[in-house]
Amino acid sequence: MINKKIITEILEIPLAAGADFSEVFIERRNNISLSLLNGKTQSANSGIDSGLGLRIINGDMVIYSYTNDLSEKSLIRLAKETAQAVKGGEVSHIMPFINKDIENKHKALIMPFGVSKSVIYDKLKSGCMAALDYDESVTEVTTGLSSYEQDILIYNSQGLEAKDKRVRTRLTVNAVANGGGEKQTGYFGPGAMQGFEFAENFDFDALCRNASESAVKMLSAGYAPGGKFPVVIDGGFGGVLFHEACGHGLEAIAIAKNTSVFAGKLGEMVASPKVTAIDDGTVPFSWGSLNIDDEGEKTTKNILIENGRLKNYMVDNFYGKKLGLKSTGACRRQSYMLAPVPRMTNTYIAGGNDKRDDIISSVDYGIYCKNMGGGSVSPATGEFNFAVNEAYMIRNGKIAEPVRGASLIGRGDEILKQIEMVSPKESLACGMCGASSGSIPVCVGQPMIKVSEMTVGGKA
Amino acid sequence: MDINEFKNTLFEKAKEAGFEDYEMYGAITQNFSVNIFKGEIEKYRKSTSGGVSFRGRKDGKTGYFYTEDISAEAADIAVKQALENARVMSSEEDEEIFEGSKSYPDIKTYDPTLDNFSDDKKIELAKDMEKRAYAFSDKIELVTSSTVATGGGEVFICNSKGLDLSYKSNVIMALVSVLASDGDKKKTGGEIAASMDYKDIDPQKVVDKACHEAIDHLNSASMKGYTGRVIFKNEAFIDLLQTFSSSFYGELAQKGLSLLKGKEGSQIASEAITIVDDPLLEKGYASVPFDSEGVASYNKTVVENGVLKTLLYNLKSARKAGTHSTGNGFKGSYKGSVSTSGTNFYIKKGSSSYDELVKSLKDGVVITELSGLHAGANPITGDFSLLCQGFLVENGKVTRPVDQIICAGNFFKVLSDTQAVGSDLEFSVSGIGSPSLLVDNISISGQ
Repeated sequence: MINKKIITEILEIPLAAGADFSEVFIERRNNISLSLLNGKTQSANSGIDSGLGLRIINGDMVIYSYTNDLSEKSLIRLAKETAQAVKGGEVSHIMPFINKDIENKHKALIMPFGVSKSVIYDKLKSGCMAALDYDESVTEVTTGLSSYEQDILIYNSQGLEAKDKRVRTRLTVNAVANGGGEKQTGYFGPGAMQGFEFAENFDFDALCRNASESAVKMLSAGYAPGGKFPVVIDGGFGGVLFHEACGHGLEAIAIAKNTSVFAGKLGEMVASPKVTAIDDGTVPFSWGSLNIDDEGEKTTKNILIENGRLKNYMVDNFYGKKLGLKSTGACRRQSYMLAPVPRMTNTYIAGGNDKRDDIISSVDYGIYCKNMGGGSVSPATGEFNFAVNEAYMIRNGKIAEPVRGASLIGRGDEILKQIEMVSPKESLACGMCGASSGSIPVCVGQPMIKVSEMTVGGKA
Repeated sequence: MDINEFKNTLFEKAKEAGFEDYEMYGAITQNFSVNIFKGEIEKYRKSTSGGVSFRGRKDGKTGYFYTEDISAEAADIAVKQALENARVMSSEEDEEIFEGSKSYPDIKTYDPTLDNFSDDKKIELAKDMEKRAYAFSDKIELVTSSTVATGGGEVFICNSKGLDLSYKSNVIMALVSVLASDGDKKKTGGEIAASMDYKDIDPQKVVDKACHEAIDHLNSASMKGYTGRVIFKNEAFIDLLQTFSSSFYGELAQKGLSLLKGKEGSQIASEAITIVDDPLLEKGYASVPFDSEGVASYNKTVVENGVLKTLLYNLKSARKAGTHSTGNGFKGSYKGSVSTSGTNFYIKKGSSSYDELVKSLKDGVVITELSGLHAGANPITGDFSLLCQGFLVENGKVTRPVDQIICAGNFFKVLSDTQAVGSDLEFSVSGIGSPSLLVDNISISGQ
C-alpha cells in the first residue's frame, strides 16, 4: 500500500496551488463472475481493479484525476499535473490524519477469490435446471453470480483517514419462454452486502422457478390496454417508481443546480400524506448499504419525505455546503475513476396502513403491476417512464387476466400526490443505478401502493 | 514493472501452468474532460489508465482474467484464476487464439494534430458553447452542461501464436445540454459532436441542435392515440437500432436469444431497408483496423433490400455456424471477454428528404426522441413500449410539438413495415446510424 508520506505530499500539492480541499480515494477490488445458459458456462471471468482517484475542490470547481500506476513517481506527477487546473486561492495546509474508526456492520465470510468456481457452477446449474423443468415452453435460462470485495482507503486534506471493506454478491436469473413464435422473459436479481455465503444460503432453485412462472404467464397474455387508469404497484422492485420518479430529483446535485422539481421545497407538502420515503444506507447486509460513503462519511437513515412533507435530500459535503445542509452519508462513486456525487443507497416508501386486499378491491378497472422493469427520468422535468415486466388487469376489485407490454409514464411530483393507498411492510429489491458517478448498487423498495390515475402505455 | 516485463512474466507462468495457447490484450487510455457551468469550470478531469486481459486455452477450454495491477503477484493470481475459470467453462465455448489475418486495412483512427489542441483551447471551446447557448434565446433557462472531452489510447494484442498488433486512436467530443422554459413548461435538449479532427467541431451547430430540441418542444401536449403510420426521425431510430442491434449477432442467435436465428437468406425487412456494418468508414466513430481477437476489419452488407445476408460473427460463433469471422469479435474493455459488436452499423440512406416523408405521412406523428430504452424495449422479443416526444403532423405539415405519448410496436415488424427511407442519414457517436423512416402499424397511446 501507498505510504502516508506520499499521500500527504499528494494532498499538499493542490493546497499549495490554492485549492480548498484535496482527497485521495484508493481502491482495490477483486471481482468474480460466472454465467450459465441452460446449464453450460458461457462466461467465467475474474479480475483486479486497482487505482487511485484524486479529487480537488477549488471554489465551485471539482477537479478529478486518476491512475492505476501507484508508484510514487506516477502519483506525484498526477498530483502536479492535476494541480495545474487550480486557479489560485489562499494557500493552506493539510490537517493531521485522524483515523475514523468504522465498525464493519456487514461482515462478509467468504471472499470472491476464496470461492471454488465449481461450487458456484453447481449452484447456477441447479437453478438453470429448476427453471427449465418448470414448463416445456421455457427454452433458455441464463443464471449468473457476481461477487466482489472492494477495499477502499480515503484520506483528505481535512485530516480524514477512513477505510472500508465492501463485499457484495448477487445472483441473477433470466428465463425465456417460447410460444407462437414469440418470446417472453422473467427476470430476478437478488443481492446482498455479503460474501458468497449469501448465495450459499439462498433458495436459488425456487427463484429460478419463479422467473419461469413469470415468463410463462406473460406468454399467454394479451397486450395491456393504453389509457389512464388506477394503477396498483406491488412491493419490492415496484419501488423503482419512487427511485426514478422522485429519488434522482432528491439528490443534492440536482437541487444545488436547480435542475429538480423538488428544489426549494423543503418543508412543503410534496406528496400525499400517505407517503413517507426514506434513504437508508445502514440496512444490515443490504445490497445498497455501506459503512461509510465514498468520501468517508458514515451512512445514515435519512427521512426524505415524512407523511407527505419534504424533510431532506441525499446530501454530500460539496453540494451540502452550497445548500447549507449536512452530509447524509450518501456520496457515492462506481470506482476510483469517478468523482463522487450524492446518490441513493436503499431508498424506499415506508409501509402504511391499507390492507393489500382492500387496495385491490378498491379498483373497478385498472392495472396491477406485480413485477416492474427498469425505467428512466428527466430530473429537470420530472417526466419518467418505466416498463412493467408482469402485469394483470384488475376488474371489479379482483385481479384478472395477465397483460404484457405495459409501461407507465407520468411526472414524479404529480404521481407522489396521487398515491392513494399504502400497504404495511415495505420490501427491498436490488438494482444497479447509473448517473454521473457511474453505476452503483442500490436497493429500491416499497409496500403495495395504489396510484389513483396513471398513463399506461400499451396497445391502444 | 513495465508492461513488457509483465507480459513476459505472465506468459512464462501461463506456460508453466500448462496453457497451450495464451494471449494478452491491453488498453491504455488518456482522457480529458472539462465541464463548464455558468461561465466557470465546474468539473475538470484528466487521467491516464490502463489494464490488461489474459486468456489462455487448456484442454479445449478458455479461461480469462484481467488486472489493472501490473505486478508479479497479479500475474500469479491471473494465471491461477484463469485456470479455474477455464475448468468450469463449457467446452462449446472454446475460443481460438488467433494467429492473425493475411493483411490489415490501413485506416486512419488517430489524428496527431488533436494532441496539439491544448487543454486551454478545450476549456475555451466549452466556455464558448455555453455562451452561444445562452445567447440562442431567452427561453434557454439553464445550460445544464457544456463539455469538451478528448480521449486517446492504444490497444494491443500479443499472443503465443506470434500475433503482435496495436493501433492508436483519438477523438474529441463536444456536448451541450440545455433546459428551456417558457415560464410554465420545461424541456431539455442535448447534442453531442465528435471527431478525431477538432476542426470538424462546429460549436454553433452543436448549440443550435441542442437548443432547438428543447425550445421546439416547449408547449408540447399529448395527443389522441392511434394505430398507424409514424415517422421515426433519424436520431430516434438510431436509438431503436442500437437497442436491437444485438439481434444481428450470430452469437445471440445461436443461444436462441435472437429472432433472426436461421433467417439468413430470407426477407426480414421491407425492400427499402439495407443495413451495413462498415468498420472502414472514413472518420467513422467506430472505425477500427481489427477486432479484439486480431481479425482484420472489412465492410459487409448485413441486410440487402430487406434480405438478411449475414449475421455478425466472432471467431467462436463463426466456427459454430460453419462460416468465417466477420471481424466483429469485440470486448467492451480489457475487463470483459470477447463477445460481438457492430462497428459503424447503419441503415443506408434512401431517396426521400425529411420534408417529403412528412408530406407523405400526411397525418400522424414524427417521433424525435425515445426514452427508457433500457427498460421499455426487449431486445430478445423486439417488443417496445416507450415514452416519446415529437411533432404532430396534420395535412402534411408539422403543426405542434407532442409529448407524454407512448409508442409501442415490435422492432422486427417495424423493419417489415417501413414504407420509405429518408436521405438524412446520421450517426451517433457509438457508430450506429440511421436516416428517418416512415413506418406503418405503430401504436400511439396518449390522452
